[in-house]
Amino acid sequence: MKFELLLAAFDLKDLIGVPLRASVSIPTIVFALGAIGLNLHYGFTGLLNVGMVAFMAAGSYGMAIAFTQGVPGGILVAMVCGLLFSVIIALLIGIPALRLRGDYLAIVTIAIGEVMRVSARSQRLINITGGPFGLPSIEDRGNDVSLSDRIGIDWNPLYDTENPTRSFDVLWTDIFNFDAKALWLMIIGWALVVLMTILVWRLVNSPWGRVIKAIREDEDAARALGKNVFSYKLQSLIIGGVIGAIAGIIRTLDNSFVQSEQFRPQTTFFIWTSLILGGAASKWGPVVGAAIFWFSLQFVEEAVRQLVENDWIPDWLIDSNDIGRIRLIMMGVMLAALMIWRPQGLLGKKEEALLDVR
Amino acid sequence: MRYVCPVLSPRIVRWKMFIFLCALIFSVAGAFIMPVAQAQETAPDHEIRGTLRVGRDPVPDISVTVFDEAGAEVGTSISDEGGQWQIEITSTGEYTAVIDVATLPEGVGFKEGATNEVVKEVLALDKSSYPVAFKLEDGAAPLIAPVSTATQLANRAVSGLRVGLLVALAAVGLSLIYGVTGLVNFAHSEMVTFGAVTAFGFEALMPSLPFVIPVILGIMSGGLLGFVLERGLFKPLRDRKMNNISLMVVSIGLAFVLRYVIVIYFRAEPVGFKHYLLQTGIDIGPIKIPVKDIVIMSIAFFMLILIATLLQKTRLGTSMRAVSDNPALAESSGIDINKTILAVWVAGSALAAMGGIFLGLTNIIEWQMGEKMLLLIFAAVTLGGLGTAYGAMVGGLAIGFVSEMSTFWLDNDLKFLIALVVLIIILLVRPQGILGVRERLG
Repeated sequence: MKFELLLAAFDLKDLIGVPLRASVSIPTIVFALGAIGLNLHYGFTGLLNVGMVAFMAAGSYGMAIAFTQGVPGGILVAMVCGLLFSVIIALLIGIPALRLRGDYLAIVTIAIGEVMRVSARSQRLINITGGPFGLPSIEDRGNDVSLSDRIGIDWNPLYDTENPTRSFDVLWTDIFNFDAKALWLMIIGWALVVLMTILVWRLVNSPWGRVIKAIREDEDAARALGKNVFSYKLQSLIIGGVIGAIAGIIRTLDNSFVQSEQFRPQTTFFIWTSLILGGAASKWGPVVGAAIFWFSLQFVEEAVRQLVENDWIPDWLIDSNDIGRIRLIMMGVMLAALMIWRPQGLLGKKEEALLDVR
Repeated sequence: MRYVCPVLSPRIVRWKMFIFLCALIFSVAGAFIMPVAQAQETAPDHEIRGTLRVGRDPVPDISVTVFDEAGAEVGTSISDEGGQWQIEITSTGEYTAVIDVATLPEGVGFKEGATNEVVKEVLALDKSSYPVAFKLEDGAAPLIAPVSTATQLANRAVSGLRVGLLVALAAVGLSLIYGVTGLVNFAHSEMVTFGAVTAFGFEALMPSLPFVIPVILGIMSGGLLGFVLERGLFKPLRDRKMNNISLMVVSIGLAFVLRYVIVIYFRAEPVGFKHYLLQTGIDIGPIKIPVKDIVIMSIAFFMLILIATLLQKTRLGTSMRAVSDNPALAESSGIDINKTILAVWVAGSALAAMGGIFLGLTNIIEWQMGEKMLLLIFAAVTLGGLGTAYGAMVGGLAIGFVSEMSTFWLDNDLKFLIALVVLIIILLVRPQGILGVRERLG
């Protein structure tokens, strides 16, 4: 009876539907792409990159700035600019820090991520990055096109000029109900996720990949075999960083604005938790991890929201303002608990996940 | 992990790297030396603003700078066609708006009794704008002499010393913990916040008691948190033979849990201690400094000396240094490693809590205060050499000083950039830090 009473307190359709919907939509794609990049860094090369958000910021801001400053060639060239910017950031991080032991790399990467964010909100760059306000609408004023229109309308085969607010029911339920732009971005995004997963898998199973895995296992041994460890690590950092920049670009296409607060360090740790949950050094781990992680975050958040709204949880314990913060506590608990009890995650192998960079 | 590169000799590589990096840093820095733009259309959350008029006519193109109570620049604004200027603020406190008299048009001065400085106390962030009025007049009154560069530098240096001492206090703990366990504790920033928040709580519980008591209780709670974390989390994990990299990731998770539990059960808005909330400065030569800052700086300085003495002279201090140097050898010489590690955790956390309380006294208390300080702490311990207590002191002082002094030439928010540039240059030139031992790295 008690259980039925508790069950009655929940709106089951929302409780399952909202997280399910979240686990296929853009945030999951963004975290999956980020985790694929991080998998190359941490899972295969053993690089402790805790500044993945710096690469996302490089992609987003690089693209947005190039576009608003009217780079010739439009969006595609602007995206390339974003990717190139992330390569520069990878060089900036890698050249000083990759020669050092793992924990130093962690300190430098988190620092560069924060410095990117703080610099982007600097008053001095207000004409370029929009300072603390960001770039609220990404428009090329000279040519009078906006990024959002270009992606969502001009280049969108799903967009119907007769019925611009048309929405799509994927499957039969109204849980998976998306508008034309979101669905179009999701198709592109999931295609990129599959493409990048296959790319990374091909890379790590090539001779190049065997070297980076050797570096992860024993750097000195790889060096003794005549491999230029530094160069391999730098290549891995750049490739993974570019995948991270793609994640940032997808997020910016979805949001249609950039702002420095989108790139707080917690984004990096969402990606980390996704990767560890799915399993580092596995093929589909990052993708599965991102989907399950995002599902469980939304599930807990929705459950707590419903409990608070129905007064099952008293206000002094958690009130409705705190619900958004629960997910960050959840993330912290999951990250620590996974690291302690299941470092290989769901799909990883234990012997590949235990890494001691010392 | 000895550095042996088969292709290029280390010395040449390092210099090439250095030159390349300098070029990169300069090109990035170059982007910042561009003119500050005019006001944006969207309004910020809170701002100090004003309209400059002589009689009824607005005065454009006048530079107004707002400083916080520590004397650090919050921002600069140039008045527009309508004579309006505005500067975004994010916290409560006493702000001083200063007109750059060099930008005043000819013949425009201040009314009798008025100066080019106006003080504005922002007690609560409940309004979107806080107006400040300057009394301008045509002709008549003579211009007030601007504050000399030397005075400004002297004030900036004192505030640099203050920040440096606080960073050093917090950094010693991080460095000691790293020294004895090999763990880079990302949750150290939350210890800083925890100290300030608990002291604030104790102060609210016992408002009539002297302020020293909540401060001491706050520091003790910090030490207790260190004890709980070591005994409840990190020691069991070390016993499970978890490596330090995994433990570092665990500490990242822990940092998030602590940080957001603090937001939920403390509050999201910044607050200040009830005691000594606002204190007008006293003048020592060219330097204007609140008495509380002098007290804080003396205590912090004394604490650093005390720690150094304890590390050198006492048994516990010696065993800390021994474990840090070579745990196996220390253990075989009869040192109880676990006891030493526990002592380091308690002492390090208490010091971080103390740093947090002092930071809360001179600035504000908020849930992000530790997070904001973490980068400076990391830069400090890297500069001094990870794992060395004296290095962390020297590094903390240097980083605090350099980053505060940089606000004289650069914007306030770019001081983190300076800390990072120092970090990177140190990693290139002397990766083991000023006082580090070469074997630690390579």
